[in-house]
Amino acid sequence: MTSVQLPWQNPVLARELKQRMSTPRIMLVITLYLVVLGAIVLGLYNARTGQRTGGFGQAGITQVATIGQGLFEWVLFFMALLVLFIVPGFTAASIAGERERQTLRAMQISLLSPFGIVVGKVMASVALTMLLLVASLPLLAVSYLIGGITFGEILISLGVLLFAAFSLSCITVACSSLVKGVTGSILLAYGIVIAMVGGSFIAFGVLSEIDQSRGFDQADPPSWVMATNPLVAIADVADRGSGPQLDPFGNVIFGPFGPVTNNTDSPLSFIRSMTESRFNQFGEIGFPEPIPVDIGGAIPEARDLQADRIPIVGEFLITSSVLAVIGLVVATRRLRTPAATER
Amino acid sequence: MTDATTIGIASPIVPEPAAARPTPPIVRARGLTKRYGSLTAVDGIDFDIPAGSIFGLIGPNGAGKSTTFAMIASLLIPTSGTVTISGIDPMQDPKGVRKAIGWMPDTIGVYGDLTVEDYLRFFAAAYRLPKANWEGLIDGLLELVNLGDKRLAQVDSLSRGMKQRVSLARALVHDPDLLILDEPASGLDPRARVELRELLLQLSSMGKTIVISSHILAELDAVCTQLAIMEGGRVHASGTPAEIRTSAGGGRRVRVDFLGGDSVEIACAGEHEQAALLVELVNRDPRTVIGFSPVADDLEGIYMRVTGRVADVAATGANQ
Ligand SMILES: Nc1ncnc2c1ncn2[C@@H]1O[C@H](COP(=O)(O)OP(=O)(O)OP(=O)(O)O)[C@@H](O)[C@H]1O
Ligand SMILES: [Mg+2]
Repeated sequence: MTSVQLPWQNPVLARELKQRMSTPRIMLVITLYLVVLGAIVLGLYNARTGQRTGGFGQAGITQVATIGQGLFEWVLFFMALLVLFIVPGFTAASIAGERERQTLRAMQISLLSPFGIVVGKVMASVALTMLLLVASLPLLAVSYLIGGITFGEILISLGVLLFAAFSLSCITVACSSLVKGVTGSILLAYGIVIAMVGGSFIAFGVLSEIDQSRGFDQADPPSWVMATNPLVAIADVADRGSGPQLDPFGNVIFGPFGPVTNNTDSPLSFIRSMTESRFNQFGEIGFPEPIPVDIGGAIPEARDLQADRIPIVGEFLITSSVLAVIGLVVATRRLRTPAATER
Repeated sequence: MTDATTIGIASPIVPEPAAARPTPPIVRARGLTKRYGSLTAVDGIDFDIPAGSIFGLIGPNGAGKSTTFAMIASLLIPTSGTVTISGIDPMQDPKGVRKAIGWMPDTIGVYGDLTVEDYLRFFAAAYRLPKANWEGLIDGLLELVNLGDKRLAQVDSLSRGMKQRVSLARALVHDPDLLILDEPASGLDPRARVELRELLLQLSSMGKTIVISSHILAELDAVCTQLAIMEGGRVHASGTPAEIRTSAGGGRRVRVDFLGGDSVEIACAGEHEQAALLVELVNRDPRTVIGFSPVADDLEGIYMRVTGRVADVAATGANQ
């Protein structure tokens, strides 16, 4: 009578995708997004290549690689923003909308489990996000072709973005199960995103100020403040550290002053500079000073600095996993029937 | 009509006299109570719904009908008391109950952006039916609810009555033994109501037990084998329509017409008393009797008396 269902055979997932694809809206969103992102890439590329004075011969592969990295980080930054904006939009109505349309209870008295419903909703929103990310892959490929980044870097960055999308979907589904109306659910979900991103920047900034006002000591502003922030995580992932940079063929990329540095002018680079600013002896938030000046032994060696840098990606992955699990549990519990009240 | 094999419904059983074979009730409620804070929506009701019956629950707005249904349908936790469906307690084994019931809510909740067939496919998947059977099943269901030509239509494009039938088809997807229909006739035009009634009889002849609610007694009088009149969370009268007539209505009334236009009504408890009273009247009265006719003391009157009495009690209670 019954048949085994594999995760991707989740009926809710299948139905959601059918419903989303039945309107041209999703295609419109993708097109609009690609047009905007494409324009940014084109503009940056023109500006960069225009900056080149003296042509290829002088600048050599280094500068081209820096252009590639810069583009990569810009595109990545916009993809991360996209995830932050679009995932709550895709997911906020998932359960609240079914409550509003009075379709939820029919699902609840079917043989679908509450967890199955929640997972179907999450998978649908992750799948749609994936569609957008895949659609913007060609733009990442441009930077890959220019050079300066590796295929592995692209894969890892996309992986982190997808994980962020997954975690955010779980949190938003929980919002959707907690709040009765769609509007409330959307507001709550975006409120959480703003807190996770903006709030963590502000908190870190305040803590850094306090830290710096105390002068040099071993205590740093706690990095976990940023652990909920996908932008910081993605900036960290795109960070090449101070190690030698490799071109697509695996050769070390050298510039006029040695291996290619980590400094691009992308927003991700700026975010990195914030997290590194605690090592800036003058407390200026802005450009990092990778090699601190020795003013008397209080400052760690440059090597230690690198090792000491906030392992934000790891913290982010752990925090996101925890938040995802909490989201799934909350939503599942909210959908469980029989319940004390239905409305 | 319906291809019974494709939708897996057993061939119609020949109706037998109810008394000949005492079947255990398919739904049994004992002291079933639901409170929302200080408001008692369902107040310790007892009832049995015999297997194979069409059971009508009638009552005005707020009587507690939907709440009762939600407790049967494994959606709501009773505050106290129990309800079992084929012996299964929804609190213990909600999945067991869900396999046995098809429930149609009082609101039409359908996915408007799907086609009718996709809508039904979703629920076929939700009930984990083998995919190979889906298409035949959907054909059978749509034919049953008379929407065969709407298979590819967008649900949003359907009329209210059609959506209600789509919703009914959904409730039948997994071929449940018990159908719980919460006000299926609301918002339907007279023709659609007649069609619904015919559909209910057809489903009943397929062996399904049907529980149905309404505010309008006339809607259920003609089809129901069992009725319960509910008001203020309590069941005030229940039984077969005939039983309710005798118990709650104080028997039947007959109108006697006389030559010249006069008429009288006499009330009597049963058939024998009726005959005796009529004979006595004809003998005693000097006027010429030209006809007798039963006064249409249908259940509507009883319903109004029962619910009206409750309203009076509530009103006096509020004044004190
Ligand atoms: N979730 C809830 N919270 C508080 N009160 C509720 C809730 N659900 C129902 N009620 C109350 O319980 C009572 C019974 O409601 P119910 O919906 O069962 O009545 P009904 O007989 O189905 O009425 P109608 O004919 O209008 O559908 C009403 O007074 C209603 O206000
Ligand atoms: Mg109701």
